Amino acid sequence: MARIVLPRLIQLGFTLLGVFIVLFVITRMSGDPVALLLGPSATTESIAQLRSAMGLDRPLWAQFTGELLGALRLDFGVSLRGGQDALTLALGHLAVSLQLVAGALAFAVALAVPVGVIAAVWPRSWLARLLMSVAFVGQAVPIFFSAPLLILLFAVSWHVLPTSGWGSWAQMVLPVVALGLVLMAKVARVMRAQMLEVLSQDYIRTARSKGLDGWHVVVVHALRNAMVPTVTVIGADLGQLIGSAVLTESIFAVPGLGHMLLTAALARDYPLLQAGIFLTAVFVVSLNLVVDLLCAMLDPRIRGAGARG
Amino acid sequence: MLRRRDLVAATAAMPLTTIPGMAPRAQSAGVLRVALGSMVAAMEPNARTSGPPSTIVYYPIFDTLVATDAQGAPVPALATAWRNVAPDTWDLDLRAGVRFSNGEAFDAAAAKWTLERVLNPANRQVVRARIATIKSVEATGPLALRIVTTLPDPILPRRLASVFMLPPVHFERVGEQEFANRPIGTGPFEVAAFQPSASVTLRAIETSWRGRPRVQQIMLRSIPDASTRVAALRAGEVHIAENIPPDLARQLGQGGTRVVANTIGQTNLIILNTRNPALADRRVRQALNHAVDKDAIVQQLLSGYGEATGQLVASNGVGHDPAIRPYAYDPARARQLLQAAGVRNLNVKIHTTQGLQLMDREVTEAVAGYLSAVGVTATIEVLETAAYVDAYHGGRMDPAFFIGWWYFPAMDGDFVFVWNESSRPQARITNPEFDRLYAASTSEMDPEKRAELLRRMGRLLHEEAAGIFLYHPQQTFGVRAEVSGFTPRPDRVINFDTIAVAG
Repeated sequence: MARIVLPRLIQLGFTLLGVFIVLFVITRMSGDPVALLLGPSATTESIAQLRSAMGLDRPLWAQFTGELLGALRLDFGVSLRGGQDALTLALGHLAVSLQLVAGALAFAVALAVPVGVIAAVWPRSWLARLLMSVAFVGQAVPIFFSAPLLILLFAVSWHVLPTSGWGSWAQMVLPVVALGLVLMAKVARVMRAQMLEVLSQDYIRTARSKGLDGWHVVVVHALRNAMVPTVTVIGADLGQLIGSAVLTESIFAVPGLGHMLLTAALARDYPLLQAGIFLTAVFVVSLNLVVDLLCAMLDPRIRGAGARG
Repeated sequence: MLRRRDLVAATAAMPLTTIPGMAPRAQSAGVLRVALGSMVAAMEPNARTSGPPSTIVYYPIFDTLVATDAQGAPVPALATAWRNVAPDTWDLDLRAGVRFSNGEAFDAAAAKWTLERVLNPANRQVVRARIATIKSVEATGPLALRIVTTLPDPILPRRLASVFMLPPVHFERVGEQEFANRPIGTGPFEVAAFQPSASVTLRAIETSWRGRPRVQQIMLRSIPDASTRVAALRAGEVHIAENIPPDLARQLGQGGTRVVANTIGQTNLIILNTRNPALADRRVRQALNHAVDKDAIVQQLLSGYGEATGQLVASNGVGHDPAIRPYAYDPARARQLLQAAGVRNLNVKIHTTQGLQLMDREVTEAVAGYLSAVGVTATIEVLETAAYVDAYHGGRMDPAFFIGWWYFPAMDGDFVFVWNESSRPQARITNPEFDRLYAASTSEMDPEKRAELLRRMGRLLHEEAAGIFLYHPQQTFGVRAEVSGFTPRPDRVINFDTIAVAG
């Protein structure tokens, strides 16, 4: 266990430091949060005054060390726009994003696993072809097209779901489905490919020749092995999803982390940006860790390698 | 520093309370639902944000000393009268019997406390820039306020329209952070629920000096995507949706929805650097003005939601001159002027933004098209907003850039003319006559004489063709048929006091 966890923690430390430095440099290269805050009708004097009150006129190295020392204590400062503690604010948005992504994942897996399995067990059937075509369309249609379409159909025409927002179960349905469709397509394709490979292997033939029930072989022997690469793919995607759900969040007015990062970047809200990116990095690295642990659970060989090594 | 309590609060911040099932429809009488393009992250009104839509959120809750009416004129709010007793001294009479929603009395001491809090640079108040001319504030009686300015300031009352009055006792008891979550004001609504950057619910109160509102509750929420805002309006989830782009406005006007539009206190134009040798000849700059069909741009790109112009102030602001007409669209005359100036193969680079102003990039592209039709090569450089604002204040966009200059909430031309005063780093013109007029206007206390000075500045900038004058943009709202009493204002505030929703 420690063999899996420890390297990840070290990796996390380096990742966070790298992200911090890159972000500090990039955000300081162009744009002034104070000029943006005051708008184009602000005078040069008033901009200088507010900059100095916010401590943004200090030398860059002083700002850098100040912020780095703060970040080590999980103190990212206050949001330049909102005035609240940046990390608390970002955590609130992360909570929303986690709900969105978890919902999308549940939706995707619930559909994708059966679809992938069916498509692999009867690869030449019309049902398999139909399901995989649908999955393919799901992956090919971009969210900026599918999301407004869902809104038009379910909210404007049929009045069965709200257009947007986040707070009630009904409001969660459309964003979860829109985001889940993309993920579902990918998972179904990986699932099908893995199942096809596993089903053609010797031990499956052996199991079948022992006279085991067909579905027992598929579910117990094949599915479990096919799940390992699938879980890896999902894990890699989920990390991206937390940040890249920004389009879904914008269209459905979901106050998630992606949209928060976008507006913080446009406003050059340095503290909020650092806190948000920090949370994203922590999330992605912990997710990789969870995926590794899951794979170890599913595949005893990985566990064994860890124990021996 | 993050505490565990904050963590718990943050994860519990988004409760799932509503029962699954039907979508919430905006049908219960007395609840007004409004979709805005964004939502404030904190509710300390003078501190963090200066422009709309934050002001839309603050006006139902708070009051300023002086307000702006639908025509853009200053009108009494918490101050009932104001007198200029000496060039640098103003006396204000404050409204009697006004209380904050928690019962705290509003008086001269509260007004003084608020203004001084805003003026103290250590408090980092964004609004400070708007009232920076104030030197001192004194309470000369329980309801009498005296304001002294550093120099004579003829528009001080209009400047006060930017500062919301806060309750000192309550504020100092709860502190800045807590106040920003549950603010207290003198307006007819109080905050019932607030989700930073997402939504706010306001509850009507009985005791405000502004009287009882016509709705029980206002629910304001952020829907950043314009087509989702329109969908929410069409689905009946919201009664009013702000900022409807021209292409989507065509979807409204049926099914119980309409578009309400009005001209705001803003001018969109392409600033020309008159100090650049290529544009130093006035005839060249006039030629560029004649080359562009402003009316076509307004009709085709803005679906008619704008007014073509030849000056910096629309009819809703002080300094507007009805005698100044837009430059006529006359490509032949443009060619003549260029020829007379001896200009050939003129290259103009126009800097612009994408999405900072409605259709900013598209309008700039259209202008470039018109310029090429008279033989001027125009190239476009699109800048990201923060980089653009930086370049603007640093005076680094040469020789031309698209900009929207606004003068709300004061509705006074000073806020746009100031950028042409030659000592400003943002100025792109050096004109001693203009500088003389501007200096005179800043100390002219007679409103009529001052307005004439502003009009003369407007005429001068028009004749000098200091920019390619384009249009005064309109703001657009989608409004459902159930809504009555909604009048859009040029300072981009929504007056919720008069709005009613039919059951």
